[in-house]
Amino acid sequence: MKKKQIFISVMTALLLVLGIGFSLSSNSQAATKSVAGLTTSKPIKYDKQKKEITILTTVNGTYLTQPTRHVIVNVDGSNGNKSLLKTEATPKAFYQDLKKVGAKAGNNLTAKSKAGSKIKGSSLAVYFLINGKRVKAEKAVQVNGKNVKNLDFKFGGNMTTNNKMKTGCVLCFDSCPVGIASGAKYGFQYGEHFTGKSSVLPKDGSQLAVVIKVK
Amino acid sequence: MTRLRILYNGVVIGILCALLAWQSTWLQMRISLGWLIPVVTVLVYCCYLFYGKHLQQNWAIFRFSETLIISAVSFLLLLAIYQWHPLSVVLGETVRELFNADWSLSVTAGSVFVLLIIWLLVLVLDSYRHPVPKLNQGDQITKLTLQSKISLGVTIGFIILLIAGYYFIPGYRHFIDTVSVMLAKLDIKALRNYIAGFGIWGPLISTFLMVFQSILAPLPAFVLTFANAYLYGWLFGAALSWFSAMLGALLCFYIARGIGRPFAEKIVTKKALAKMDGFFNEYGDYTIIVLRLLPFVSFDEVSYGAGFTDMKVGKFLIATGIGQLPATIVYSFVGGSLGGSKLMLFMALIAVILLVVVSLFVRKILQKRQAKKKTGVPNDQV
Repeated sequence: MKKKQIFISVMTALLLVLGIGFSLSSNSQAATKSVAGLTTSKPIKYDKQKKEITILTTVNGTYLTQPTRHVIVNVDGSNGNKSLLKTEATPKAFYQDLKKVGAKAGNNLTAKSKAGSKIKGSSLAVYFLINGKRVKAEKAVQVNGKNVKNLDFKFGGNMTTNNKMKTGCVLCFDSCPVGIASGAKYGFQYGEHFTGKSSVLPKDGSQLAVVIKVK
Repeated sequence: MTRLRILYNGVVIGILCALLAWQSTWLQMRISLGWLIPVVTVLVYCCYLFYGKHLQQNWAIFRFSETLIISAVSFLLLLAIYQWHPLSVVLGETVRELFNADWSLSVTAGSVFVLLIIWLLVLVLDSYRHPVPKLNQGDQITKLTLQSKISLGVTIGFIILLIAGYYFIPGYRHFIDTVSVMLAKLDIKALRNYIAGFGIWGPLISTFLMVFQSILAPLPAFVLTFANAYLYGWLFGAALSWFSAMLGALLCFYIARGIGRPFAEKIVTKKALAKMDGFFNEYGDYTIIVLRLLPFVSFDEVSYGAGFTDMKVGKFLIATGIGQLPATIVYSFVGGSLGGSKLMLFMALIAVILLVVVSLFVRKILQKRQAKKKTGVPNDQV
């Protein structure tokens, strides 16, 4: 009986510690606000005149120390926790908005494409809105621990594969047959070699607006 | 409370597996590695349910001392691979991914650490209140029993993990390569800078390095003793080297004991083991002390050798502690004087020579005493 009591009190104490820790954590994360006119319920917008799309994302601090190949992934996708930035925006909404602002999809890659093949489509410039200023995506990441000048993002399209795979991939660092847009600087299957810079990007859990401009 | 201890071990081993798996980006990108924690915990618990009832006592690996060793080795290994900040980030992500939550990484990792520490403290209290009785025949297993088969399995599994990790975990391979080159080249300065690079975690890393070099017998330990004294001063350096060498010796002893006599007899023949027994019988309890005193006898081979005999762990630890003390102090004195004056260096050199002479002299006396015991002939006639 005595052992049972000790066991129950220990488990209660442990659950209490966990509960306090996680509730504190949830509170700090739950405080969402409007960023660049976007909220979690309306996470994406487009401007036809400026040929721009803005997406509301959340920084995943894991990839400020660990490598990934995913820039932005929808939270409900199977890769929802594997990207530098998470978003409520769906790949479909991003695809449709890119079409609306006049971008042309490359649709040249499939899962069977040769390793090293590069994505085609309209060229895109990607900016992160940090403290009200636009910072080029290339300034905020490192490839194998080194700075990179131009990731050469393109509108790959890939809507059919994206619907089929359900990965949630919106934007990838290297050429990808699934992501709606991806970087042509590095070919298909280049892999997980991209890390966010903690000196440039806000901390884990912060909201960040990303602007994608059709060149 | 035994169940609580087993669950704790399961969780710690699960966390270790999950965080080691992070080293494979291919794996990390494809599955939620957090699931490894409950899966491994259930596996460990099932092992206990299956084997626990068949054994004479509780499964040795789940006694409190082993629990503490598992926790310390896991923590040091992960710290050496990741360093502090990335370790807390990866731990936090592993747990929050498991729950698909948006918790802060630092709070999540902090909560897990606090939880494990509280859990461990409860186990400490329990181990004092209800100590697990020792195995009746655990130290003298000469036939393959279920107990020795499990020990053999666990030990071989541990060794395979160590070797496989080298080929599949880039961070671990880099660490092993870097450290091995420094130790083999006797590069004290490079080793000092490497340990110093870990900041306040330096002593922990140094301990881990000493344990690592203990397992790989050909690597010399005195380079690390020099580096410790060079970094932390001769007194603290000596204490650190002494403590970590004890841990290393204990691990070697347990590896040998885990492999066990029945299996060792098949590999190195009964005759060879009998010869080793004879050597230990000849010098009695002084064997370890004498061998430790001699600077030219491999520290690690002695530990492995002792593990194959029926020597008790307590006696082995006391003998190791006493035997390695003079050499540790002298080497630390040399290490501490590396950045100092020529007089200090000269004194250190004299101390080394003295150590060798005294140890040879002690060996001679003990040999004579042993011979006297055997034949009953007075000392001066031997």
